[in-house]
Amino acid sequence: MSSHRHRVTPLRALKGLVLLGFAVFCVVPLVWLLLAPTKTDAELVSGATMSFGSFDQLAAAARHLMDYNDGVLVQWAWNSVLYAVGSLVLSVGSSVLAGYALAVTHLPGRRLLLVLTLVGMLVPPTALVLPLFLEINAVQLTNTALSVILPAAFYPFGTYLAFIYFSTSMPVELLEAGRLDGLSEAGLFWHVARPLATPLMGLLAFFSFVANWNNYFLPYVMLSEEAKYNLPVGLGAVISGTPALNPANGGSFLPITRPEVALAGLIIVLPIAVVFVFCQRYLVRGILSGATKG
Amino acid sequence: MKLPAFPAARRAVPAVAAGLALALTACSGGASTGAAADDPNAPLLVWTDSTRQPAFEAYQKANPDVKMKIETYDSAALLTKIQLFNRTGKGWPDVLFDAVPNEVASLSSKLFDYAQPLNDLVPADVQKNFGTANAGCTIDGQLYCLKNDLAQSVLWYDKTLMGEFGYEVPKTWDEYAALGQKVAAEHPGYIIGTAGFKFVYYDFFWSSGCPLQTVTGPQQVKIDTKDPKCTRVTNLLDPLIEKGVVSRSGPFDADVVKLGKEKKILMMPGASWYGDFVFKPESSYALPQGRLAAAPYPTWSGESKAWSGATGGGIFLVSKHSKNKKGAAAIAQWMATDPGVQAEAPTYPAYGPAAEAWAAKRADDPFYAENPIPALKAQADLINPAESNTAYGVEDAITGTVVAKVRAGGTLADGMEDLQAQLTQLAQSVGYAVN
Repeated sequence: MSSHRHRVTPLRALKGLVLLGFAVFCVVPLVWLLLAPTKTDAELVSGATMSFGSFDQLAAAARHLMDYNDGVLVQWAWNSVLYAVGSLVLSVGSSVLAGYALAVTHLPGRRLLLVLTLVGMLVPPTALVLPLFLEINAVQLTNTALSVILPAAFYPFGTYLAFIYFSTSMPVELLEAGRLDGLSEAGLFWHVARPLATPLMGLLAFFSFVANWNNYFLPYVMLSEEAKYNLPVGLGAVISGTPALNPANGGSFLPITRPEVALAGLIIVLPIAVVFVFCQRYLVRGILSGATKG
Repeated sequence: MKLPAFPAARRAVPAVAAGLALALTACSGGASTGAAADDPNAPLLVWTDSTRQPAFEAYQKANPDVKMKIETYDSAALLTKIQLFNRTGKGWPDVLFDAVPNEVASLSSKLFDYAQPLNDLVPADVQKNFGTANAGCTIDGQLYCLKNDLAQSVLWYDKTLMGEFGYEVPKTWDEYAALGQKVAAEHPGYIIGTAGFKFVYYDFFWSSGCPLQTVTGPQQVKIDTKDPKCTRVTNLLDPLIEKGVVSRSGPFDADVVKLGKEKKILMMPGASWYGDFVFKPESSYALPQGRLAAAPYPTWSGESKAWSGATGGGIFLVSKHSKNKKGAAAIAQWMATDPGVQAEAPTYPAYGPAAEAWAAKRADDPFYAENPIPALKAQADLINPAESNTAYGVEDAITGTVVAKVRAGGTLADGMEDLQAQLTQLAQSVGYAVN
């Protein structure tokens, strides 16, 4: 039986080749990105594509990025953490509470709210930029951290996911038992629903973090002061202001070239990879929850 | 609320930002500028690119009493940001370095309401020393910016190759065309220029005086791609493109970079910064020392002067919303004119005396076969004044029409009708009467 399972047939070999092809297709650009900052600009242009440069060059690229504007990169990284974590807390908190309320209570207009939540998911985010800017400007909050964090409270995807999760994965009997034991509605959420929703919150936290960490357009519009940029907006400004990716920008002695830009890309991506590793367990559980009903 | 992730959003930004700017204009009545007296102690916000940042910091160091905040900004976001500031009524940079000189037309327009006229803020003798360099900064008789550097076109050529092949450097575009035919026949694989990039406008059409941005009066512009000064460009280049001696790619495309590294670029009409930043770098053409030279630009048939185009050249502006306009203008003036700062600048200074200091430092660069400064200096005063800065840009239209046709295997002439239509539409959309 075992030998039969491992026997190499033409079909099995073909499958393996196709899968290997896809793997190479996906992995090669990532490996290239990892190797790029280890080379000089000239090596990157004319050297072997997948070659390794040197650790010295990697350190030089990091130094050039860190030297840029007296280390403003560190400030941008800190801002990114602040905006992403602040938005995460707000978006996960609001969507879990809203989803729970929609799932277990009989709010008047509940169906309408659910439909509006779905509509909210369909509206292109860029369409909301102008009204959002005017709204934030009306309360004098432009160019502040809150102008980037507060809009995160509107997270229709998270609300709908939480609604589905609580509707399908939480036995009504548990809540009834809690009520019989004298728990208030708030107590029911805190002591019964919340512990059961840990995978959901892990899943939402991951999606929220990724979206907010990568958030470009909202801070791009809301923030005008360089020291308040997050990493994507800041690094975007670095890249657009140098001839690194756009030689038509003309002459510059700045040491921001293609390897520095590649390193900047890695700096943005790295935290997401780390968060993914920590959230992986919750991601799988969260995604599968509600998929089957016992 | 989750907004788009970085790469996708970056691509979407220009289009969305343009819509946003228009929408903001529609719902704002324009910011009030006020007529408050100048406060010499008011803090000054400076927006610059990274290249100019150390010079601004040097000014701050030399003038510790001036309250300055120096920030770099995303140049692609500038016009959108100014519109947003007009809406919020605050945030405008007092001093602005803009790498896109054409934007002075927008920034001085009522739509953006940003640029402060500098006629009375910059001494007359300083203005005079700029020569013709500030021509593009002057709109309806008002000086709205100071030019930082010039990107006048010159004819770059490989002196070693020209000697080996026994060719003379062309002095007219007719000679250039004849030499191109000769190169095609005698040395196939070598090129004498490129046409597959938006710079074809600056290098050829602008130099020829083809009316694509010819301002004829306030909010009036002439756009005529059938003008003989346009057709002489297509008549010159299309046969050379067909023969392969003028590349269908741009100067930064991989195939042209490869030709550069193989020393197969015989000539290249291009900006004054090409020598140091296109031919010299290891990551670009990496031409060995002692080969490159610059010649004055060829003259178009029937013209008395060898007109150049101008591929960029940054500008300094002062905000009309600034509470300290004199202080802001002093910074802009110092940045544009200080010989110490400009002598170390990467590109050819616009201010005459500063250009002398810059030239003195580069005259003996062993990279060049002969001193390129005389050619650069000659062309600095010959940027064709027929074309001006306008509130519409031409680069995207050039890329989408003539350049697209050439890159797809067609001719420049194939794209001229579309270019006329696109530019006319663009000009009218920002309020110009097109004639």
